[in-house]
Amino acid sequence: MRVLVIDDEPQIRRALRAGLERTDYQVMLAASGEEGLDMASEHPPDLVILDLAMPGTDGFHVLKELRTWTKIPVIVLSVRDQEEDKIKALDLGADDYLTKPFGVGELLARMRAVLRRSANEDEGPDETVFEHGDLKVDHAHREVTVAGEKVHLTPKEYDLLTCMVHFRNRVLTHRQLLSKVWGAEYADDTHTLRVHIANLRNKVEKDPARPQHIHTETRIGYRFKAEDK
Amino acid sequence: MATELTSERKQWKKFLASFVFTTVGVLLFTALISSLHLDEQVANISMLYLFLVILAALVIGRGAAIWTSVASFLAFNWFFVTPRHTFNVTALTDWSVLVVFLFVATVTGQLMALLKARAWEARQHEREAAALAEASWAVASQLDINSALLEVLRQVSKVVDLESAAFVSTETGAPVVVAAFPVGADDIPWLETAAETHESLKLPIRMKDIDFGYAILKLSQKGSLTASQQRIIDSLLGHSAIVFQREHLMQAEAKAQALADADRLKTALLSMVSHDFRSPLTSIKASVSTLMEGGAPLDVETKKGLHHAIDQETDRLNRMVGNILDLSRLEADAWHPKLEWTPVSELIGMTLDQFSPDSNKRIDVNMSSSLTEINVDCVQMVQVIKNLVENALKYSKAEERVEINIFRDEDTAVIEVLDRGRGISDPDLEHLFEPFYRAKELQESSVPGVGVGLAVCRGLVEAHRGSLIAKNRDNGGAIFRVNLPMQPAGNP
Repeated sequence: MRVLVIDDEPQIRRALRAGLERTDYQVMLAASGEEGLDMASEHPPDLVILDLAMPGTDGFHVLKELRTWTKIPVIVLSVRDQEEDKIKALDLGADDYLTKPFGVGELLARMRAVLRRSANEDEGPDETVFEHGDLKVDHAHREVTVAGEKVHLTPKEYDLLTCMVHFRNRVLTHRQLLSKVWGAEYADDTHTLRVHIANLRNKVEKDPARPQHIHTETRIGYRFKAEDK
Repeated sequence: MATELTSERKQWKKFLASFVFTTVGVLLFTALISSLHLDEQVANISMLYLFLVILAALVIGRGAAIWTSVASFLAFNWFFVTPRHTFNVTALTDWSVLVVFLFVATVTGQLMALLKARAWEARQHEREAAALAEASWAVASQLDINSALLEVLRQVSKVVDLESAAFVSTETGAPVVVAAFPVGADDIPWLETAAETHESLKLPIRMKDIDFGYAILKLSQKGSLTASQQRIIDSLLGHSAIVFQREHLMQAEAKAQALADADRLKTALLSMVSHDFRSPLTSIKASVSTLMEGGAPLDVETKKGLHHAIDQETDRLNRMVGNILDLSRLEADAWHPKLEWTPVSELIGMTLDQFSPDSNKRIDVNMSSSLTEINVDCVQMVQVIKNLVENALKYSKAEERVEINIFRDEDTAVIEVLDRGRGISDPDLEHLFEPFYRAKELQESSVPGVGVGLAVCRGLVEAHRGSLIAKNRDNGGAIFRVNLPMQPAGNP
């Protein structure tokens, strides 16, 4: 697997190289947006780690350029309190984001999630039965059980749950979830989504205030968390 | 015009009434004299009529008195001078009666008019003194410039007949209406066109070479002001100049205060950077340099400990940077909540997500069915609850539980964080929410913190138009209560 890291700070590039090479990724480093775009077109990587705030060609620009010709997964790096930037990047086609400062463990988990997803992009459910903890989703029978008990979900709740399961461990923005489950014309109806998520949590989470499965990414969207097997 | 007509008509009516009244009076008096046969007993009947003339002068006025003299003379002559029932004005005594009547009527009427004028003047002086006194009181008691000046205008209106009036401030360049009488008159076109004409006065307000603005008075009385009205207006405007000057000083003081606050913040930030940042940096530097040094190899446990310390301390530094950012935004008054209807469970979920599983085990959450959604900026409200819970955990023993209650109390959404810690001492209750305030016994303790969290919390809650209060619990511990106004409509 080849990973392209685009960040203007040498210390961060060095640390990421060390962390990623230990996990057997092949690492390419770019110190600017232009250099990153050149490298990406010369040796297309399997994944891009992209800093949003760079002098000159910034992360947003790089992302737009990349998305004109490739669907390779991109994880953007941002700082705290810049939800607008994160949402903008995700809407431009970034697959996930990480807030600086972050641990390499977190980064590796995000990378695994986006790589797994890109392997079976836009296909139907990647398994007939999904199990995580006490939650079991049987796609074939459209049946959901929690600790063996059958749970009754409305069709929208079921669609919402399976959509998040399909993109598990990956952030889905409010717009993405709304357009996937309700349709593009509902993309801005965040409140409907929130209410459905709250109801869904009441049904599938043991303690809805401490969700094990459906995590909130404040202001951005939701992430279904499931440990990699 | 309409008012002039009615006032003319009124005067005419008054004249007619006094005419009828005195005539009827004379006739009745004459009837009384003849029915009682007083003319047979009293030597000089005319003296009785004199009584009537004086009465008319006293009660009604000079004009009425003169008419009464004439009517009395005619009645006296017709009824009581022989030959009766004829007008016989031949003898000198008859003429002298008329002359005496007229003389008494004029003199008494004149005296009465003078007396009345004196009384009116006295009342006017009283009104002026009262107006001045009330204006002084208003200036002294109303700290708010608008209400103090409005009161001054109200007092002006008691002394002169005002159609409308306003105070205009020119201190900031463009003219701004700071008070208008009657209330709400500040938007009428007369203000723009008002110039020094015979019926509207533009009077400058200045004190010690500072021009504060001007007053515009539009008079409804005819003619120019009397000397006493002029005097009283001058002194009322003097009062208004005091109000303007006080406002001027208060603004200057507020500016100075803001500068002092900013200065205090800078000092505090510097001490924070120099003292509080040094300790995590020191421990990171020490750990890293130990790992890098040559010499005897470190055992696995030691290495692990050092790595762990570096990890922890960087997190701590990151939190401190976050705190400083929050605080600088708080001081810049830059919190603008982005309100969204959020399910309460989601809000609490986002908050609890910020705590480790171990901390979570100590936190109890009580959500109420009375409040399922709340209109907040979720990033900011999560920060508030997180700071409060963090404090509660930090200042109570590891085995004590921390409670979050969230419910609806009539028109208020309430979020409470309760602990069983040491509680809050009285002096601390007063200063708890000031930036960089730390309880005395904490100042030199090892409990980490710089006293920013609660200041940020209060700033955020107030940006939501809510309130944050702290108090002690009955059986030990503290309660922090966030009150947020509920939107009147139940549905978003």
